[in-house]
Amino acid sequence: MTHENAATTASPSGAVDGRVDLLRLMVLGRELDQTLGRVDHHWHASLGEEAVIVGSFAALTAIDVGIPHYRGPLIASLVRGSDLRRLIAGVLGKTTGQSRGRWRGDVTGEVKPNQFGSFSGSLGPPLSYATGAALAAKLQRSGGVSLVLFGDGTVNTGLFHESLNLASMLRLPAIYVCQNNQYAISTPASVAVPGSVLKRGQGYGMVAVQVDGNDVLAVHEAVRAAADRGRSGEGPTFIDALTYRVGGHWITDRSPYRNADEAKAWAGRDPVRRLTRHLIDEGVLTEDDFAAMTREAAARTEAALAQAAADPWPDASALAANAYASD
Amino acid sequence: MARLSMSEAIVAGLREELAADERVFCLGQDIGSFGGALQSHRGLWNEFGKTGRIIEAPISEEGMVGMSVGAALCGMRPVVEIMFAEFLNLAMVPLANEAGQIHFKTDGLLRVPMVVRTMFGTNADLGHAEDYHSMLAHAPGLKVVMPSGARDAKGLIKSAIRDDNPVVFCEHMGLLHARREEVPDEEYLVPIGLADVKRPGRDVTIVATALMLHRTLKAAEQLAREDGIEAEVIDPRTILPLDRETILASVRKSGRLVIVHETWRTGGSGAEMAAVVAEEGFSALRAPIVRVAPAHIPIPYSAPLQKLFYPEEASIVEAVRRVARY
Repeated sequence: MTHENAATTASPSGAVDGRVDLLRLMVLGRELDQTLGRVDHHWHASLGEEAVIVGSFAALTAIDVGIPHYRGPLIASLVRGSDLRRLIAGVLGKTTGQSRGRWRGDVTGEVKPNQFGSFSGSLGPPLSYATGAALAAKLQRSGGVSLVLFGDGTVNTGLFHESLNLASMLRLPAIYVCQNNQYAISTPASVAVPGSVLKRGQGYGMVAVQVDGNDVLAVHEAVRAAADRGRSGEGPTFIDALTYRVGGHWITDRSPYRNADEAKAWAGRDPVRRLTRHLIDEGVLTEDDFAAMTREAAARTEAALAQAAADPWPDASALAANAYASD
Repeated sequence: MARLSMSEAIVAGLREELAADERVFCLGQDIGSFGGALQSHRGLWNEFGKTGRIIEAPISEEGMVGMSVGAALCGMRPVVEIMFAEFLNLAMVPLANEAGQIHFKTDGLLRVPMVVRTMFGTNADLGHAEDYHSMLAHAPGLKVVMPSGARDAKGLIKSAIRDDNPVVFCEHMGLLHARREEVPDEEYLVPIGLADVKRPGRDVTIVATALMLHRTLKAAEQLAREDGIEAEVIDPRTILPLDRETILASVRKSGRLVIVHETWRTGGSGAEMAAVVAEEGFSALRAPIVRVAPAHIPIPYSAPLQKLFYPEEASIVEAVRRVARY
């Protein structure tokens, strides 16, 4: 890790590093996520899962393709420099959102040539896009890797199977990270995934590891190692990042299907508190620093929300006669 | 000029594009030294194998198409073969739900320049004839192309590869190795979205695709000989986006429209053509629009049943005589 201070320290390769930066991103990401949960009653909140998202996306360089899960794509977008107001406008469907209201900004986040998401309601295609992006990187000899995050429910899909199998068969530099929060709506992974999520990944003949998904440094290191592996031509990696869905499937889901003890046990492993404690213990951060960080996140988010909420709606000019790309 | 089969013409077009643009790659089952089912990639492994751009895949249609979408989003130009058209339904999610919609949904930021090649159609081996292109033609953002011969096929595969949209390229198995056509040696393209009048006439417009186009041309000769009816036979070549102008101009001349295709009549791509002409060419019509296409039952297996199932010359002639009576 490089020099830690309150300013963003970007390494020459473009990767965000610095433990304080990681904490700042998790704090801002959580603030944005929870704020949108107050505005959108169907919001898929990422509370408790910030370390998987921030840790993995922060390990990418500018030439790598990152594809977030539908839970937390705005947090992933923040890691790679997206504008807060534009992200929020995309959730609200305002004309100032990236797609001018043509596509939902809640499950996709910012789209760039090196960052996609879901383009329909289906789970699975993003994994195949990671496989394809890795194939492109290999054919182009770019040295890039691809990263995709997905839930424990998605490991049961056909596209999970086909995407990982293809990546392994073709020895592609793809990184598949299961943002394993242990629930697919009301279905626990313990029921839906006989065997285990980790064993699924191991079945494809690729390197498969499990990490504590609530330890952002562990996640960051696992993805960094996977990227090295991919860039060296050693093929794909599967990472089972064990975390927990603190809230419901959507913000108003009280999830009566869970027992309270389980939630309590995981509350003690909150990723933000853990890193904060660690940095304070190491003398890198003070309580006041953390308080300032939290206040700044709140202020930035509130200002961005106010702007986006006041932004205009799109009109008919955002529609089209056909959906084709022309020459 | 060379006389090429439709299969040879498609491979020739593919070869030219692979040589001209290193972003183009082929993905499919058994397309390496095996040369592809029905020789769909004949000779390409020898010529391009060492560039790493002839890539063999396992039986993973949904994954193959999804992977191609991902590669296309990153600047490559994949030509993925889904061996038989009935397997296309396995890939509906990445193809219909997503690939065709990404350009619009990203407000023009991203493009998906990919081609999906697939084989269909009644043929001597009696298998894999099913053709679900009509379902794909319902998905916004896709293009669906269906050549009827070598000359069109070569120009269309090149256009499909150069097109920045996902293009489904449908190859009729009964035509791939059946007949040869003169194909220019010099480079040429056939535009996507442009129909071709294969036989001019003024008494009735017949729109027909693939193998049915050839049966329709025979029917037209019989109609001229026996009834003095001069049919104008149009090959759409592209199902989606449909060349409405060529068809409407012809109907304004003839006043009568018959549509012939090999896939089921109910909800087939001919239904869209009929609706377009009924909406936009109504004042020119002097007779009902008639579709000649199979009944809505599964394609039977036994050869004599298939003969009864598919439109033949006689059923096309009969349909034209019916509209001519009005």
